[in-house]
Amino acid sequence: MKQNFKEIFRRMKKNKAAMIGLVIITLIILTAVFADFISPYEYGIKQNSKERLLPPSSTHLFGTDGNGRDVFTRVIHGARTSLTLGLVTTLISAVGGGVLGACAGYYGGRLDDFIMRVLDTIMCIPNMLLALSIVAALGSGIGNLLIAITISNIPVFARIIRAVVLSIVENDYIEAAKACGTRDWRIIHRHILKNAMGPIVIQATMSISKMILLAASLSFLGLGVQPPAPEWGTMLSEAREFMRRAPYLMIFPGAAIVLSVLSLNLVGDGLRDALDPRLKS
Amino acid sequence: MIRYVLKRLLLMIPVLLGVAFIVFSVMSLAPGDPARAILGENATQEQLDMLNTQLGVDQPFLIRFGTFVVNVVTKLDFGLSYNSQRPVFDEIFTRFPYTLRLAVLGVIFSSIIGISIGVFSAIKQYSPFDTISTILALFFASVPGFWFGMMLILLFALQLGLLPSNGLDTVKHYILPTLSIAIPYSAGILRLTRSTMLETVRQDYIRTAKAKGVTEWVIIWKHAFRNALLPVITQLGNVFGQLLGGAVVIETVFAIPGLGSHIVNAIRMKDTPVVMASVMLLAFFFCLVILAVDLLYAFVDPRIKAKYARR
Repeated sequence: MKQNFKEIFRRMKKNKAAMIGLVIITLIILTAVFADFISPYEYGIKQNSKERLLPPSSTHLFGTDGNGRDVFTRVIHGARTSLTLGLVTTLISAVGGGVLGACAGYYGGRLDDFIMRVLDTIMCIPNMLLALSIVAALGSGIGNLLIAITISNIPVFARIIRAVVLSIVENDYIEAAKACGTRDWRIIHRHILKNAMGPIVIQATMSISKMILLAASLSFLGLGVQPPAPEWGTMLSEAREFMRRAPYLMIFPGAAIVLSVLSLNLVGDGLRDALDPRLKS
Repeated sequence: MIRYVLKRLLLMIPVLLGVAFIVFSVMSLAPGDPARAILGENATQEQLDMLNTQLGVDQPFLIRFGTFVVNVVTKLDFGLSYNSQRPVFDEIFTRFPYTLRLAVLGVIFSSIIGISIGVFSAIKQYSPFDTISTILALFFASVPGFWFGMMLILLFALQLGLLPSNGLDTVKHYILPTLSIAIPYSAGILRLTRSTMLETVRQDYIRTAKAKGVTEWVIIWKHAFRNALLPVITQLGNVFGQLLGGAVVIETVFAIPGLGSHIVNAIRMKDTPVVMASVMLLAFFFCLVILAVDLLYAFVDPRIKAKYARR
């Protein structure tokens, strides 16, 4: 496994775009982790009517918003919210989808039919609408946003993992393991999922960026993270009010979304090329 | 072929029922008392109980779902809006065309842009044109449509004053919303078209065609493009679904009186029947699009057609 990662990284190093993506996303993660050291949270939360709508300057790099809060602080603390949401939802949906997909693929038969029917039906509801109706039923807020986008993401993972499992189950070593009397969960865990890591990691990288976008869209509609908490979508929604007077308010949170999604996509593409050199075009 | 179409149509029934069931169960998690929502704060307990009995709120879940399905199928009755007291169906039906029109325009323009540039990029692989379009596609695939829309408004409506930024009254009103969905989505289509085209031109039958002296133009459009088109068609179906869902955000940005912005308002008003019916209508429509894509596949791909013709 360790050797595998080294090999993959060696291949990825040759891919300039992927390395740029990796550097950018690492920087964004570091900013999110050390957000408090760069600029304390209270600058982004405390209202200050004297400093409303100041254009970008050396004291306020990205200017100040309608409540006199420092936009730069809000953007870097927003990175914390968005990245956490992206990571946590991806992790939960990967595990959830993984269990469902692995069971469906490994046991096959009726269980497979049932799971896949249900998931296919869920996938007939566009992602955004499913998340939206869950938020509508549970109420807005960061916790419910997390539940909503996780659920809407599970079927995608389940499908991919099922497909990978199906292709691995055919192998002789699985039959050998079965013949040795290895328990099912041990086969699934040790022999199948470890071999399926590649596609899962690619999907997970892409999923983080999708989740960041979905969370930002829902927050933009006022149904996700609630103000005054700093989140990029919420900030964009607040900025609309001042479109004429302070257009810069809309630029920075949006640019932050684009930068993080772009870098994650670059890394995802790079990983895919590195893990499956055949596909490289 | 007719049998295949009929079979697929029949299979739609359980799918639609399933979709309705999922949306219905999710929405029934919503807390609150329907009668209270309709009658307001001043209603007496008796009035509330009476209306709740009338609405069937006290019935078991499955019976409520059954009644709902029967009402929808027989009378197109999705219940009453808590907010306006009018039938939900009338309310959402007048708004649906806006959403649909935008989604169709989005699919048309994103496929024109994405497919044409994608094919040319693949033909001229590693040329400056290819490099530039690949980089632009990477960038736009990461841009959220609603933010791009806001940037377009900022530039074309507020700074230059060329185009209107909200509503959908004239043809001019359609330009910015269409662009803001078509360009980000065309990026994904471009990338897919390019990679499938590159994969197809490496196939043996392309080399055969070249060897027998078929002109470049015919090889690209007749041999390669038709084969590369299949995954792209699937992608277009998905894009359509995402546009139906994404309408929620785009319509809010451009203040378009479609179904999407209506859902958002209904969620804010806690108008559960409207949210449920709108989500269901959009999901049903997406199911139909998936079906249409599958059927289209059968027409485009002679291999699938042949499989069913023999039966």
